[in-house]
Amino acid sequence: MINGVPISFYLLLSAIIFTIGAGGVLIRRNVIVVLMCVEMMMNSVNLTFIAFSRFLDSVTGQVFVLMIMAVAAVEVAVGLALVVELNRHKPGVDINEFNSLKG
Amino acid sequence: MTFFLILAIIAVLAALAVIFNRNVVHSALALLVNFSAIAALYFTLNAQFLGIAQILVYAGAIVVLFLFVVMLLGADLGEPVKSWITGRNIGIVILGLIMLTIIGTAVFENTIYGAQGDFSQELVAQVGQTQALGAILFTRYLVPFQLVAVLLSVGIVGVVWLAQHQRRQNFRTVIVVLDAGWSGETELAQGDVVRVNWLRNQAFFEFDSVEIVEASDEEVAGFVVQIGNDTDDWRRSRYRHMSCRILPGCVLPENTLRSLRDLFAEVHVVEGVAR
Repeated sequence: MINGVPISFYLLLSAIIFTIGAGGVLIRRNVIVVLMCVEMMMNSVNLTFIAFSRFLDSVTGQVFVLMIMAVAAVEVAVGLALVVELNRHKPGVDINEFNSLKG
Repeated sequence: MTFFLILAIIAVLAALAVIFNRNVVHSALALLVNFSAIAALYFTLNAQFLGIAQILVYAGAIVVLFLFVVMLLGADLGEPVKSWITGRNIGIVILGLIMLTIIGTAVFENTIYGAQGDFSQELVAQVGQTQALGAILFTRYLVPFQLVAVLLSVGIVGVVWLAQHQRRQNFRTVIVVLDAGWSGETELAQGDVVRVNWLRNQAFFEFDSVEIVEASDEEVAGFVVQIGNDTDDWRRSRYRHMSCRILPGCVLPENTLRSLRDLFAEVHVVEGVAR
């Protein structure tokens, strides 16, 4: 119990947001929204880490979250640069259109 | 408990809004709400430093980056979604519910155990949350921390490399060739000149002049339409100063010639005998 909230509630909330994000990746065809959903999934995992960190009296989970934040920032920067570069070759943001590795 | 429930509901609704908004800008703003709600949850979990970092990094940097890219690529990015209720989407929702059921069962049917760490709440209250995190980050996790620095540097270099124009700097001039009789390689380099067969490589790239050797009217018209629709301002400014040579053997109707003249600075129709 953390301030009267069982840890399973945090885990369930994190699972719900993760599932919504995963569903969004599958449902949406817009590259930018897909990247947003990936960020959302990462964030829900961060929530799990911090909940466990608090539950188990350990700071290691928070260190993990700090690393994940850095990775997420790099990932989104590279991903969006790729989207811009792809857009220069083939206008549009539909991921179904980006189906060939060459040109 | 009430506070947690309010934040959880906001986070879940915002997450759903990210998916079901047709406008990408609205999706980005819903994402901002989701990140902020989760940051508030971090505060309730006594992770104040990460809550602030979450707001700075996610809400401040990442969402702004998304908005910048949306602006850069044009606002009309909304995909034409006729209906969300398709067989495929229903299948995805069912799979999601199954996954949630499995996770929920795992969470609620089992008691969660784990070795307790050294940082009890009393200790953290004494030394401070940020100090506790910093003390462990710069001692036990120093190497991963430095690896993150390397990762960030590599990320910056990669993004800069991706974002710059990929000019073919090794060659002095790039000539686009429309030649139906050209088979084999897409590119042909001769000294300082590289010729690219447009009919096989219809992508936007930077070139210096155009040569029409043998092409049907439709192929030339398609070329004109595609170049005319180029949205890159830098390349558009160059098209207006280019020359286009039409070799003998390729007879084009006056309409097509006029559209070529509109696009490029000069159009030479080379007189002579077809090869």
